[in-house]
Formats: sequence, structure tokens, C-alpha cells
Amino acid sequence: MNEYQQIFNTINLGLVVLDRELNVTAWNRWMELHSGMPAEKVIGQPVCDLFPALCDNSFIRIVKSVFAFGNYASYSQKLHKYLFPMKNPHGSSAVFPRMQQNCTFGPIRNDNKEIIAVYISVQDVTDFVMYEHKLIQMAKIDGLTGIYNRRYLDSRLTEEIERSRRHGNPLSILLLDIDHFKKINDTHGHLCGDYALRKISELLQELVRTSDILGRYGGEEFLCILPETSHEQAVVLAERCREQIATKPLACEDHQARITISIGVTGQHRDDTLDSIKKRADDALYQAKREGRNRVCSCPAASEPNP
Amino acid sequence: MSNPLRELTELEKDALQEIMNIGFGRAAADLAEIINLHVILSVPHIAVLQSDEVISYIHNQIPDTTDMSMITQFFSGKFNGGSFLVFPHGEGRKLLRIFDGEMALLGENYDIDVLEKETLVEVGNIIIGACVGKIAEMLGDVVTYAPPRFFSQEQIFETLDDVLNESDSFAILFKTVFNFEQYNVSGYLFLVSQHSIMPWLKQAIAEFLGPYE
Amino acid sequence: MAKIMIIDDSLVARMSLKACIPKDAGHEIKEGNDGSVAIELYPTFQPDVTFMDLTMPGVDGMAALAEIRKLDPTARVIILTADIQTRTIERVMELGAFGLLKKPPVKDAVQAELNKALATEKQ
Repeated sequence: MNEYQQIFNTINLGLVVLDRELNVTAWNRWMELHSGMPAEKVIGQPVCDLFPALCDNSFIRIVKSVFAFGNYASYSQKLHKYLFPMKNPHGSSAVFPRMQQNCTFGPIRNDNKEIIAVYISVQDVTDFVMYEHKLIQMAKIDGLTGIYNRRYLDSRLTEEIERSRRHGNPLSILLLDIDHFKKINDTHGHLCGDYALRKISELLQELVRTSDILGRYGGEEFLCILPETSHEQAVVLAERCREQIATKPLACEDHQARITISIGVTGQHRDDTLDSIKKRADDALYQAKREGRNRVCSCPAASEPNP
Repeated sequence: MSNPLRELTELEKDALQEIMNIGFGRAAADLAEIINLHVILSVPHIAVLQSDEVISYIHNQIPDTTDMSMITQFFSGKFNGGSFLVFPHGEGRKLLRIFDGEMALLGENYDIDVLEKETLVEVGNIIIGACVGKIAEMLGDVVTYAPPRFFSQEQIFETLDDVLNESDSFAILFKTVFNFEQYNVSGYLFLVSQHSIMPWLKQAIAEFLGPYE
Repeated sequence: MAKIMIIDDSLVARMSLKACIPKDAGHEIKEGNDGSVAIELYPTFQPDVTFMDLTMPGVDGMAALAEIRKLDPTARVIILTADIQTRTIERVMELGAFGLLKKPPVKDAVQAELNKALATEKQ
């Protein structure tokens, strides 16, 4: 083996060469290892037969452009996730079953400078993508309770309002607040207060459905977005949450505390914005507080139903 | 400026403009086939400038620099230089629609800024490759490319400054305006070559004109 | 001997086209650098054949072609262009161009197209 061949076979990078008919003419050791396909089974075969899913628009577009213009082209993980479907070789396969890849393409010319082939380099970027994924998760989650944070709730609610308007599905939200939370903090200490917040988050998470989006909205306030849920269904769910929390005593250190919550419910109006829907939920919550707490109040959707 | 090697004659400039015109035309025809992108071509423009004038020249050419994005890619061969594909005023974002169908596969939670960047790199690189490649071909050359890079807003002129204030005191600048019809996207392509390519360029122009003498 | 009009903003393009037209045939040639010149010159010069570019500042070739065909529905206009996108070619033919040649001009192709145009009787 000459030195370039040695590099070709030992480099920590997938290297593939395709001829003008898109037959594989080179397949390095890295590709054998990660695809589980030995070079002798692959060489001479049309790449679209070997990987039918790969021959989508962008792959063909890029290969054609490299043959036509001799340009350097990239196929990024951000846009496409991966080019060659291969098993994720890292510990993160539960999150990403496939190896995440950044690929580049370039021309190979003969002595007459005619483009006779295209090379593809395949870089495994799964680890970076995993870090990124973790960071994105962290940016969405409230540190104390482990449920979503306010920033994420606001962006999701904006999206859900838009989606509901587009598809004409109902959308409701619950704004929940722990009653007399200041007193819990003052009498039992902040540790108990934090414990109460965590415990209530847990209980609420069990009570809502998997499609609902629950998060901590502020101090002792929670917001729950209920996609495809009518105002009436939302009131039923809110009532169940209120009742379950009120009947479960919370034990913190030696104290037994009964905690109750008040809930404001509202459904989406036709011209709602993030602020207007939140304002109605807040008004309903304020009413529940004023009427004695441990109750559900609602600000129903306008008589004109969502189209 | 009186040095004949430093300047292009009117005839040479006109010939170079025609060469670019033909190069862009061929690039557009191939682009139409490969990325299904019909381009409304405009008359290209050529200028020989002092290096430090290039940035203010580019600045003056672009009426609205808010929300601007740029792909740069360097190429080398006898035809040697940098290409700057500039999309002013959020125009670049419109190109995301090329990927509409494929975008659906990405699912939720993607960042539109990141997608704009990646799309522009992928598509911009094909556009630059097509234009530079065809012009080089017209001039009898084959070029190789460095990987493309994306810049947004505030980084753009800083980057141009770094790149253009190099030793050569003159630069040859090629400019064309693109309009991608079905996406209603306009962009500018600037190619900046160092002045040292001038002797080769003059020779290549002479060869283009040869058959018509 | 025929009357030929050449419209292109590029001097080099006009030069290279003229170099492809045989000199000994004694054709009378008039030139212009813009579509508006073509429209202005057409009724007085009454060319047998017009060669015209598409991409020009001012009035472009598409617009000038449409205008000339309106002035003279039998006008024989050969488009000489760098823009060889399929959609462009289709539009040019729809507008009633006699033919389309791609740039840079090649002697044999120019002469063949010219002879074809001159052989076509004006109706």
C-alpha cells in the first residue's frame, strides 16, 4: 500500500468515491466499519441501490452540481441529520439512533482536467450534536422542578396559537398558582417551599396528559398548554388537578401541610395573541383567588367558535 | 493608472463583460436544471479599483444593508480570488423555500437562523461554483475551491476588510445582480481578484477575441 | 445583398457577430446598443434580418422583440444570447423569434441561421 492508500484506510473519516453513473468506486475502512458493508460488496454497485433513502433531492442536486461545476459542496447535519444511514456508535443511541454526519463533496479530475468522479467525506458529529441537544434541553427546563421553564412555555404557546388558528383546532391553557405559598415559606422555611414546588410539579405532571405542555411560569405559578382541547375539557382537567392536589397532604421534614391551588382556565379566541390569552387566564386566576382560593375559575372562549 | 498592464482597455473590459455574461448564462442554464432555479440575468459590471476602495464600492452597490447575509468562497487557479454572494434585507431567508419538502423531515424545534445559514451555504456554494466555474472555463482555466463560509450582518464588512486589505494595491471586481424568479429573491455576486492575475487575464481575453479578428 | 440590424449593448458582441457574417456578400449592416434603438431604427431601416441580444440595460431584448413583432408581424429576429435557460428560450420563441443562437457566436451557425432567415419569404 502506498502512503495515500494507508491514509485513506486509517483516517478517522468516511471516504467514498462515486463515478458519473453514481457507482461506488472507493469505500474506505471507516465506511466498512460503520456501515457493516465490506468494500468488495459495495464497489461497482450504484449507490442508490445500496442506500435508496439517500437519493433524495438534495443529494442528487449536490452530486450533479459537483459534476457540472466542479465545486466544493457541503451536506450539513443541521439540514439533513445524516447522509449514510449508520448506527450511532456512541452511548447516545437512545436520543439519536443514527450517526449524525457532516459531509462534504468535491470533484476528482483526470489529467485532462475533466471531472470523472466525486468524492464524499463523512464526518461523525454525533458527540457535538449530543452536547448541543443537552444544552437545548437545559435551556428549556426549570432547574428546580425539572419541568419546562417560562421561556419555553412562551415560545410553545406562540406556536400553538398559530397552529390552532391554521388547523382550526381548539386550544386551552391553565394558569395555576399555589395558595398562600408565602406562608409555607415563612412558617416552614425555603427548603420546604422548594420541596412543595417540586412535589406539586410532579403531581401535576402525572395528572396532565402526555400531549399537554406543563411548566413553571414564575415563583409559585405554573402554566399548562392544552393543545386540541376545548374549554369544557380544560375545565374538567383543571378541576381534577385542583382536587387531587387538595387531597394529598405534603410531608416536609416533620410538618404535614395541606396545600391547595387556584386555577384560571381559558380557551383560544380567534384573534388571540400570546399576551391576550395569558391576560384572560390571569384574570380568571385572580377571580379564583378573590373568591376564596382552592377553586377553578374560567374565562370562556368568545361565543364565536374558532374556525 | 497609466501603466497599460494595470488597466484594462475599453475593448478588453467590454470583452471581459461579454465573457462573464456568457459564463453566467451557462451557469444559469445548469442551475435551472440542477436546482430548478430560473435566474433573471442582468448586465455584469467590471471595475478595476484600489484595494481600499473595494469595500466602499460594495457598500454603495447595496441599497439596503439591514438583515444582510453573505456567503464567501475563495477559489484558486490562474483565475484566483474571492467570491462574495450577498443577500441584503432578509432576501436569503426566502431561499429556504427551496428545501420546503425536505424541511418537513426535521421535525420541530429547529432554529430558523441556523437553517438560513445552512441553506445559504448549501445553495450559495452551488451558485458560486456555477458562476466562477463557468467564467473560469470561458477563460480556459479550471479552479479549485476552499470551503464556503457564512457571515451575517455585522461580521460582513469586517470580513471583507480582513480579506481585501491585502498587499496588492489594485483589485479587479466583477459584479452581477441575481434575481431568482420563482422565489423573488435578489442577490449580488461580487468576485474580487488580485491585480496580479492581470497579465494572464489579458492573455485569456486575447484568446477569446482571437477567432473574430 | 440584404439589410441586417445588429442590437447588442456589448461592442465586442457586435464585433464578433459581424466577424461571422461574410463580408463579400455586401450586406448592409446597421448597429444599435439598446432595445430602444432597435424599435426606433426598425421602421426606417426595414431590415431583412435582425440579430439581437436579450440582456441589455434600458429596453431589454425580450421587450424589443415583442415591440418589433408588433410593428411587423413578419419580422425575422434572431436572438443571440448568453441566457440559454430553457424557460428563456421558450419565452423568446413564444414572442415570435425566428431563431436563437447561443453566445459566443460561431461562424457556421450564424451563417446557417442567416441563410435560413433570408430564404424564408416575407409573407
